[in-house]
Amino acid sequence: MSGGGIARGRLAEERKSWRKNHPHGFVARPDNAPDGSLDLMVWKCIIPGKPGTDWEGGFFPLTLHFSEDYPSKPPKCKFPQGFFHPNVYPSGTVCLSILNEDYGWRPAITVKQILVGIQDLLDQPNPADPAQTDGYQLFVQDPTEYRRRVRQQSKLYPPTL
Amino acid sequence: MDTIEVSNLNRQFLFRQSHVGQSKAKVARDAVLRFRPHISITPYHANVKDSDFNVNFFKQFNWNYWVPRTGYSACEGEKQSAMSVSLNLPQRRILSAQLQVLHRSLFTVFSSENKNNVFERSDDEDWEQYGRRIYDHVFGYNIELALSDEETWKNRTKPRPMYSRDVLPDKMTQQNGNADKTDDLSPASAMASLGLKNPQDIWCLMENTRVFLEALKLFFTSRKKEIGNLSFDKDDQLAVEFVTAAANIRAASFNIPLHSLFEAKGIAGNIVHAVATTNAIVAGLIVIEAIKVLKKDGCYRMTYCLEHPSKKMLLMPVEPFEPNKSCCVCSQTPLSLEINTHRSKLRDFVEKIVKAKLGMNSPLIMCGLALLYEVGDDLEKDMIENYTANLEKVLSELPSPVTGGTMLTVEDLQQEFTCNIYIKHREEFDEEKEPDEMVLSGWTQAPPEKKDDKTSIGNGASTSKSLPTEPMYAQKDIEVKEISDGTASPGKKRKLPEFSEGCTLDHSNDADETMNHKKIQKLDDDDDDLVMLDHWGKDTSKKQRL
Repeated sequence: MSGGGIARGRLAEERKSWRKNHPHGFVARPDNAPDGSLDLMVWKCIIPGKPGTDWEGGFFPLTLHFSEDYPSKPPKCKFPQGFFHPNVYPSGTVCLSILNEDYGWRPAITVKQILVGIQDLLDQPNPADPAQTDGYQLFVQDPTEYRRRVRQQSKLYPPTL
Repeated sequence: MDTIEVSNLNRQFLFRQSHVGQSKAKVARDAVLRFRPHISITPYHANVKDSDFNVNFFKQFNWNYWVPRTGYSACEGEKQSAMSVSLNLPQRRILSAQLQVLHRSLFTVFSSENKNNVFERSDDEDWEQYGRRIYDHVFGYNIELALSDEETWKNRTKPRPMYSRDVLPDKMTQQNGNADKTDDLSPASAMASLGLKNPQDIWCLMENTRVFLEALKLFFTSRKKEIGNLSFDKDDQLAVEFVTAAANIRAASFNIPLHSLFEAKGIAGNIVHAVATTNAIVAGLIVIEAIKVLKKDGCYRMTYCLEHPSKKMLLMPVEPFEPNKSCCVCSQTPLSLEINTHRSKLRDFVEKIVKAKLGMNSPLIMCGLALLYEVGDDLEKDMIENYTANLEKVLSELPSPVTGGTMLTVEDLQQEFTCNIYIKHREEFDEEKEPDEMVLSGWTQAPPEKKDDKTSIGNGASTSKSLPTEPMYAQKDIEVKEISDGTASPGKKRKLPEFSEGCTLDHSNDADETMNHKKIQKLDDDDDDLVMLDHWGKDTSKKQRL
């Protein structure tokens, strides 16, 4: 039968540990499928923009897709398609060293660390590793317009509750 | 965040009077460094329940105090008894209620501006009149008030309102000499003024009433300045007297057994009676085992302290029990559950198996990668709705269907405890023999065991090498109970609290009892008092013969 193994055990641990303690304002939970089942392989998350930055006030939805090879391989982390950020691919996939199997990923990295890492990335993009033209070009060429776009995007994602 | 108290000094060798108030961890470190200056010790003065001290914190150590610590409290019968006493809920509640009375009557109210307050003494009242008025208000009027809510008392015994004139019709007369004494050197005590001497006597209602009135008077006459900022202190004789008397009056009102001042002080002050010798012996045993663990010696011993040393032998080392194969905490073998997956609901599984048999309070139930059930205050509303809906579904109709051949994983949010349950579908069950319509195998079900006493535990005579062979132990069934070191009331054996009697195990009982790790096992009656306490969570359901 499917879904035994290391991934399941680790995800159950991640779930328990998140329930016991997680950073304020963040949400991370297994996906609630229409048939009422909760899938441990897909987590729906919300990352709050850091206070004091242009991202403040935004609550950005992020989906973590885990594979059977987790935690040997990192989860794929996706914002909504077209998310405005220099290090987010047009598909929404986040480009971050700790999420890259060949660079910074280590099996010990927790869901909490991933989400906090992505929150940091929002306000501290890495221009050395662009993933979309729009966000990247504005970031390097027109900081004022870049910031306006970020603030505009933050308004698009108000708190859900 | 433990700090050193005066009452620790008699039994905690590293601490001296000058250390009172300081951190135990830090002072202990300094004390050890004095005789072993070249080692490195890191003290943690913190709350062990802080999230910093999680599993990962403990995993970094080669040896972990918690494991032997379990045995430590087990060996120290007196601590155990004291704990059980403090678990005696009705009395505790009464005592804490009295503490509030103390607060209310002695500072909250007296410091308030409200002149119409019942707790305000009018100028023409003497202390006794005042005390009686307070008494009648708290123990009489307030009880009547509570009684007027009839709904509350439908199914419980009604309390009896107490009025001071009924209990103590005559005016209090001055007692044996030292009442009203103005000698400031000895602190005021109602017991002393009333001539009550033995703190272990249980006062009758009349005596309690007198102590109450006297203590109240003494607070006002000799400690007037403190009123307004008094708080309960177990070392404050007058406060303890007041609280004992008040608690007992209320206890009498509610038909609950009364307590002596000594006992009340123990409960209200959370005092654990312990003596240095017991602590020292147990600490020594722990260190011996710790050295073995660090050396990876493997030759571990579990050591019993005998309440009545036989052949001048106080300690009885035995080999630790083997992991219990039928315990899924110790042995990780998967369990299997026969169940009708088309008829039984998830709720049946949760109640009858997960809670009753596995003893989990905050379970996570998973079928492969799907979460079927969780419980907890932290869950979002829609998740709770989802799980509540799942509870009412039969297993085969869950979002991830549970049918014959499915492996369910059950974990507990609070414990490091995972178990896999292999589901076998079965259509029919014997109504009489299997009323739950479920059969769990592989789990501790008090195996019927009479013959193989030698193999069931590893401490037959041959294993305790340091002891001469004791055929006596092999022959007789032994009563197993808590150790008492007899410090509480010299001269008489301390009565075991109801706690232990209530838990005496009937081995035919349901396996849900087997999760009670604090169980005391009583075999046949016998006057041979070998004493042990099984806190190890293993073998709790096995009959044991030594």
